[in-house]
Amino acid sequence: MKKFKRTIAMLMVTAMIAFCFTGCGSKGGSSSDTIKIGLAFSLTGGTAITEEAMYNSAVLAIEEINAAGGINGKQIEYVVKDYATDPDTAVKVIKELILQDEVTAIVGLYTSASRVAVEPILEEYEVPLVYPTFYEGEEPNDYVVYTGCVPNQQGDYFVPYLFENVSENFYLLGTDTTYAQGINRQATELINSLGGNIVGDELVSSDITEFSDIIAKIKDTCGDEGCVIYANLNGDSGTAFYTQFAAAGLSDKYTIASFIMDESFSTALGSAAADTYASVNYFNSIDSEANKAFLTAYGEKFGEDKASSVTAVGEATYDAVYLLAGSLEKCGDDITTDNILANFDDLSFDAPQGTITVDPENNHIYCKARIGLVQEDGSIATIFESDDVIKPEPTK
Amino acid sequence: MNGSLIGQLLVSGVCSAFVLLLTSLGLVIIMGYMKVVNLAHTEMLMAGAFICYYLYSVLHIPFVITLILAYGISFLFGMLIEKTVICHFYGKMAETLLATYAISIIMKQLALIVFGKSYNQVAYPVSSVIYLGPVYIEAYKLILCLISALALAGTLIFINKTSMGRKIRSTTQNRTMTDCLGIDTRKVDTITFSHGMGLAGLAGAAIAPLSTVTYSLGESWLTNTFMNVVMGGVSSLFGTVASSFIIQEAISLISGYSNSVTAQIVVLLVVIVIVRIKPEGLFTPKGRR
Repeated sequence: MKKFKRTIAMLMVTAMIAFCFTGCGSKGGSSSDTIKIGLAFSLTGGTAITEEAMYNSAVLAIEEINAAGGINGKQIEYVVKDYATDPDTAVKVIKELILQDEVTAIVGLYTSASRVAVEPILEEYEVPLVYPTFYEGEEPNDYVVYTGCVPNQQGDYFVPYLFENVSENFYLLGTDTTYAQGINRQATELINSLGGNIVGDELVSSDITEFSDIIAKIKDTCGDEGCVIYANLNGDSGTAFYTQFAAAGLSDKYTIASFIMDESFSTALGSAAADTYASVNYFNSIDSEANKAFLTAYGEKFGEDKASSVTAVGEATYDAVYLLAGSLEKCGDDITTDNILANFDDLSFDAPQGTITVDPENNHIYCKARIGLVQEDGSIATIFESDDVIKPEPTK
Repeated sequence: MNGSLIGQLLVSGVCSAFVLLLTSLGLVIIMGYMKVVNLAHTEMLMAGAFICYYLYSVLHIPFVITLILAYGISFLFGMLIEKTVICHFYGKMAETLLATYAISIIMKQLALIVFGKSYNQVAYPVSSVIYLGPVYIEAYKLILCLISALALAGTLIFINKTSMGRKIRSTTQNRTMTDCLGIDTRKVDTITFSHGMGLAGLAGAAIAPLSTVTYSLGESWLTNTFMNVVMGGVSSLFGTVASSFIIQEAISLISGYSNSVTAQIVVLLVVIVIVRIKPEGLFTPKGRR
């Protein structure tokens, strides 16, 4: 028995040493026939469900580009790191990607907190990050290219639409984050200028999953008049609110509208989210050749059921990789950070959502604004689409 | 201020109190009778919710049987954990904290790997809404109150009226003496721990329809369940009942008239003050110390 234990111990030590060597073995930057890029997503942690579609889309785009011959004949090699929805971990993994793996550029991150945390590192080591998430907007960082939409490409169309078609009364509700604060502030300005009423304004902490008190308050303040519940609640808190709101039988009277509603929510919630509104630049249901090709390829690689829950951030990550590839291609053999960033200017990509173009002024994308209505089967139908692409205004 | 809102908030508070009681019952039993701080408790809630999702939503087993199976499976899982890990740490509270924390991390990551990353919905077993004048109650909330009351009653009967319960109480009072009387206290420990975990699994299954089932479901219950147990007193089931009501009614009313962040702050402050004045919790059993 004792001997057995010793053998096990020896085996484990050997295995650990082996792991150490394999860990260090792959060190080294992009070689002459490959270009190495880093991916940073929460494979675990609070936003892992949302970021799964992002990670998958990034891998899909890289494989498609490689299959089509790579960038100027060079294959893309990628290293993936898990930042577990934690800003400190994000800093750590971005440093690892830069110093250990010596990547040329990074695609990834979802939460604003993690993006803000890594920006000083990007500046220090001068490595570009392509950030594929719709967010509240900020003073653009020189080393970040943003491929998600910003509030002026969502709320500026969403609030007036709801005001005209649903109700003049708005109850603002959100998770206590910079993001929800920002979009509630934008909504307040828009509602006031339209002459609507704000009947409630409330932020809740992200771990709340019991909403009976808030639902009671909404019922009391809105009374028999119609009301838009402008609810930007994250993750488990958000799904709990939709479920309990529908269970309380209030979804006939009041209408929930949210920036955060996407296909990962709607396909799971089904009828509990039916007839609520969403607003982002991409919906899974967009009827275009590019979108069909994207979703078919996604379905073949990750499963049909996963393809129906690809969200706007997933699509934005797919675009992010293609835009990065476009920029790298323009660099030719002279791949430097300055060249990569400069080549993003006015770069276009025929994305699943339609053609998007990087604005040279602020490194954000021109895209269309869309409003969606959740259907009984959990898909989101586009009910409004802006005629043209809209200039991004991240500092508005 | 108007009457119907107060009424609504009070009724919502009562329902939430029963839910909180149900979700903390397993924790208080393991902490009170075994002096084990079970940090894996909320992950057991998560596991219970997944059991409910797979049995009720996927396999369409009747809800009542799902609940009983959730208790049974969690009981067996508790037994496994007790026999392999917890039994080595009795009498060392700090070590149990670490051990159960490790178990909770393993459970959560396993759930992530095994059940995948998606929101899973469990439909309400009954979806009607009952109106009492201006006040509404979801029928399922009433059922939750009933499940909670039954779980409490069952546990009280088990602890106070059965011979196993008597052994549990005597082991808690004086382990050496109980051992001397020829009672297998090891077995008593296993049963107590497994019952606590079983109740957590049952609670998890019962609350599954209120939200969506994900690997991160446990997180949102951590603060409230532990706060509840600390305030109620770890060795008193009655204390847990009382503190469930105080906490949830306070949260409901303050959040109704102000906002939910203020409600959380106020309740947390009240708990701190109570724990400062009565470190053993609101209700502590009388007797020798």
